[in-house]
Amino acid sequence: MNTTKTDLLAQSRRRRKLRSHAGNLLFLLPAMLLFGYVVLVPFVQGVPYSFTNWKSIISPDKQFNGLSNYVMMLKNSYFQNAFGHTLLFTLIYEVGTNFLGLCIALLLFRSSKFANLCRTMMFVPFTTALTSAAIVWSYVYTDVYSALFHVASPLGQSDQVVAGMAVIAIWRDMGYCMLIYIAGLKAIPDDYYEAATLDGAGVWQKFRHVTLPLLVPSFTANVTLLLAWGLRCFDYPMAVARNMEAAQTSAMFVYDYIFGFSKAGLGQAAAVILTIVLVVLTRVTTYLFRKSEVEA
Amino acid sequence: MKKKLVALFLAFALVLSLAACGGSSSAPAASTPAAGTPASGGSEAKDVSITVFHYMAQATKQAGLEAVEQAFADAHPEYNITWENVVYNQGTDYFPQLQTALASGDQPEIMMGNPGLYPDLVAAGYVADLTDNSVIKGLNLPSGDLGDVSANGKIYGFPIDFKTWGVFYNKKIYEDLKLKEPTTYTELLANCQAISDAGIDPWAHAFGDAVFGDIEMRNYVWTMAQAGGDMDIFEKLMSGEKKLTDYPYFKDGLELWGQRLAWMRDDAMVNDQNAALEVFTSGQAAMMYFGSWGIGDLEAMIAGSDFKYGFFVEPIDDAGSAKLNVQDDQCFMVNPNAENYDIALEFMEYWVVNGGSSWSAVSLMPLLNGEVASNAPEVVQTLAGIKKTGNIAHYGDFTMPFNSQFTTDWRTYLTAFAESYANGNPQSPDECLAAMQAKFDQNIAENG
Amino acid sequence: MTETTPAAMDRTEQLAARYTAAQVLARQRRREFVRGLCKKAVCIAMVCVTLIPFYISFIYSIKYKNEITISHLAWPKTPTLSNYIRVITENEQFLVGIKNSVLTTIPTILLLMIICSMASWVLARNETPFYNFLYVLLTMGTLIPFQCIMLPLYLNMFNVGLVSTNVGFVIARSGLQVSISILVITSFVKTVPREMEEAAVIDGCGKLQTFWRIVFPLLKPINATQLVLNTVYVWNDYNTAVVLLRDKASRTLPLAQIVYFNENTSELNLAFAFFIMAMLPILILYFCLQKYVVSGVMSGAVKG
Repeated sequence: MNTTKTDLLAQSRRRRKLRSHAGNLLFLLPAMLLFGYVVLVPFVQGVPYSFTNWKSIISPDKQFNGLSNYVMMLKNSYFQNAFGHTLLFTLIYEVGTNFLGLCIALLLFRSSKFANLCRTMMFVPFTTALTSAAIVWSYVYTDVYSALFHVASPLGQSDQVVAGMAVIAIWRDMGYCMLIYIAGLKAIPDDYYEAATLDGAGVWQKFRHVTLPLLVPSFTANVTLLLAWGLRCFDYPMAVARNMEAAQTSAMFVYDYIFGFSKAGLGQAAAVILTIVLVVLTRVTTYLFRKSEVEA
Repeated sequence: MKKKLVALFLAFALVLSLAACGGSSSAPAASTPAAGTPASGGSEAKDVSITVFHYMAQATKQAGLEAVEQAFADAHPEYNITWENVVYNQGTDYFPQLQTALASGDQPEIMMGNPGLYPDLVAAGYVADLTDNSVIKGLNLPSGDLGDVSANGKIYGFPIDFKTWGVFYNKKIYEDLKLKEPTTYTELLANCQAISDAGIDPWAHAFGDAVFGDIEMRNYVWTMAQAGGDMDIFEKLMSGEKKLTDYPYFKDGLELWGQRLAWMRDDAMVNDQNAALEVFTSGQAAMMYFGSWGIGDLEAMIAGSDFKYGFFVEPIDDAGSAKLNVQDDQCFMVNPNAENYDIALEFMEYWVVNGGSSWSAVSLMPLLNGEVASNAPEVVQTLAGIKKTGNIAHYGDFTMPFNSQFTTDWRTYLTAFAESYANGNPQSPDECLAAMQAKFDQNIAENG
Repeated sequence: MTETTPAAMDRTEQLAARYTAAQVLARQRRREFVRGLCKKAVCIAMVCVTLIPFYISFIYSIKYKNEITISHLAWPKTPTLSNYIRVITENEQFLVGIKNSVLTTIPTILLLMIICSMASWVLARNETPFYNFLYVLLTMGTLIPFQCIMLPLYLNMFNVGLVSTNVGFVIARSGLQVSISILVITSFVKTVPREMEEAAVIDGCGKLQTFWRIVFPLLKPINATQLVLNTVYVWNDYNTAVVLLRDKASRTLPLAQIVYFNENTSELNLAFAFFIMAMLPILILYFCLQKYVVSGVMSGAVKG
């Protein structure tokens, strides 16, 4: 008698769990379907091409050629350079956007009419399209920067073009970072600062020992997102530095090889390599930040 | 209650907008309405749709295309044509989008481009062989004009007009400084020096567009290579049979060009055509190396001002060997697999025979036979006249043009060469050619 | 301070002490005032620098073509709206583009709001390995470069007739935004206490009811944020649109700028007028929702 009762209970619990499971999946379904159809399936479909000698995407000829595309791509010094430019761009962009975003956030995080207005203004660049931002900036460089400092625009010089593009990206995205840092700053309780003041901490010490450690989650959010945006950099060089060797990025390389130069197999291999690097870099970064979050 | 209302509103808006897009997508595309009345024979007008893929992003040329389409439709009341003109940006989107469309099985009737630049389209059978087309034969075009629409010895396209390039100069500055149009390279350099001494920049450059490095070098290389009889120069370079340094033309050309690049403005590397034209038309620079395709833009920019400009072919030595360089500009290929191939063919035949005047009058482009609309600027008339004499260097006379990746690399490294002068740290021609050759070798290895 | 003054102190001394105290206070206040002023000045300078590109765009957009060359950044002698009018009347893609952009952006952001809230809620409340895997998978979309999926995506959509349709564009754009939306909303949901949902379940609410009545309203701040961010992405999208929207009648606003931003254009003033007009709707939306945007990002994105 007793056993059957517990059996029944367990059974109904299991059934309820199963039903809740099914309900969960039903809730996930629309998003999964859309994501699968638009991103995941096309990505998986593209992978097999990377093992073929497919040339033009309009030609039906493609033969399996193993890993030779990958070998060739990894040995291709121009692809390596494109990766180098992409990494450099991402580095400058990450540091600049986070640094400025944080500084602005520190200035503006206490709400007042004035601060709110400034915040809004700082966020406005984020509403522009990447291509438009790049083109407008090409005029900022020639008509303002060059005119003021009597130097040539960085977009025309191989050793400055990546930095020049990074500045455009920083300008556009620092408002977004600022918002996230403001969020982080507001989440820090005032008593932490009061306690630090009682301990005789100065402004810098308070920043170093109270603010920074508690901002780690905001850093994580910003750094990982900007990493993904930076490493996929495509629109800026496409718009303002299409023909500069020094401005080639990995995403541009993939685009040109698949669609422009009729080397679809090689380009697809480059795409897979790029995605793997992106995933690994992002995972490692997230892991490192999470670790410091726990420690902090 | 309020929440429910909000939710209801959201759902409603969603349904409404989805329905709206369903509706709008099924609506027919905006098009030039063709003569919808039945033909005089009493037969019903046939509904046809013709898709034209092109990269004429400028508004004037789009209008020119529409003018020809309208003229054709008027002349052919037996068709009720829906035109689909699909436009993309050439440097970034055109070929990728055209290929993507073809890869999906889409079959546009007409595709813009020189067949030699798109060997994949020809190889995959998307381009009709027009070698025996009587209309094209009847145009009696010189070999160069046909060469530019040929690949592997066969004709694959309809050529419409041509482009050329050279030095546009500010007449007032030339007059003020008592300078003459130079006939030797020494004179050209002397002019530059005189202008520079007068405190004016000799050149407006537009190296922000890679095509400008290309056209400034072409003048030397094409003319010299054709004089030297090396008609297969680009074919051999792309196959790897020859290296850039196997020919004297590239090194000589870079050396000549380098002398001119000694005078560069700060904005030379970032200017696009538009910005450079501004510098030129505002009198900040006396000369601009520029092509016929932008004369319409130049004219629009100086409308209402007293700015006057002249044109000369850049000398390439002191012996007067320079020739006007010519290349077919607008060219169209016809797709034999397309549903309305016949009508598309008819349309293109109409364009090259009767539609030229409609085209030239709107686009202001000079036609291949040397004719040009009477409303075109004086310089266009002059250019057409020179073309008529036949004393030109035509890209179409080479067995093959540089294509896809080679074009990109050629332009990239020429732009880098110009940049090295802007930085005050000039590359030697050998350095430039070595870098370019290394990239060519990489391309060839990947093609293999 | 005066109260603590010893009674033995005579009046002058007291006065002196009080005077010093007032002085100290005034100095302190002055210092704070100056510091605040400096801070404000820094802020204003920063905002000005940030807005320079918009100033340039605006100045160029209200000048006649030949005046740009002459006066560059100075205020034009005769400001004109003719460029704006020319964009609207001469660029045949402009109005079509606006219509299509509105018709695709609105369904996309609404769709995303609903399906991503649903998915994020489930992902945030079930932290088992299975759901964590789904979360990682779904958010991986932020890492895949669009160029990698462009061709297969186009082919798939072409085969079912979705190319050059607004529906197809809505599907593609929503699919591409799912990852980042879920990333942001999930971290927000984790900051929302569960008690209310549990109470609802005890009251006998089903999953759908719980979500719709309890959870969805709580997500208002983050959804407002997402509304603005997704609008920015979708409204400005060029790369997806150029692939999927071929017919002129289906093209969105960013594609209408091809006329201005190509190799040989001379219509700089029109280009800038276009740029400003294309940006306006998003700006207006942002100004309307900015209160929520800040608070949404604040409570959500931080937990990353």
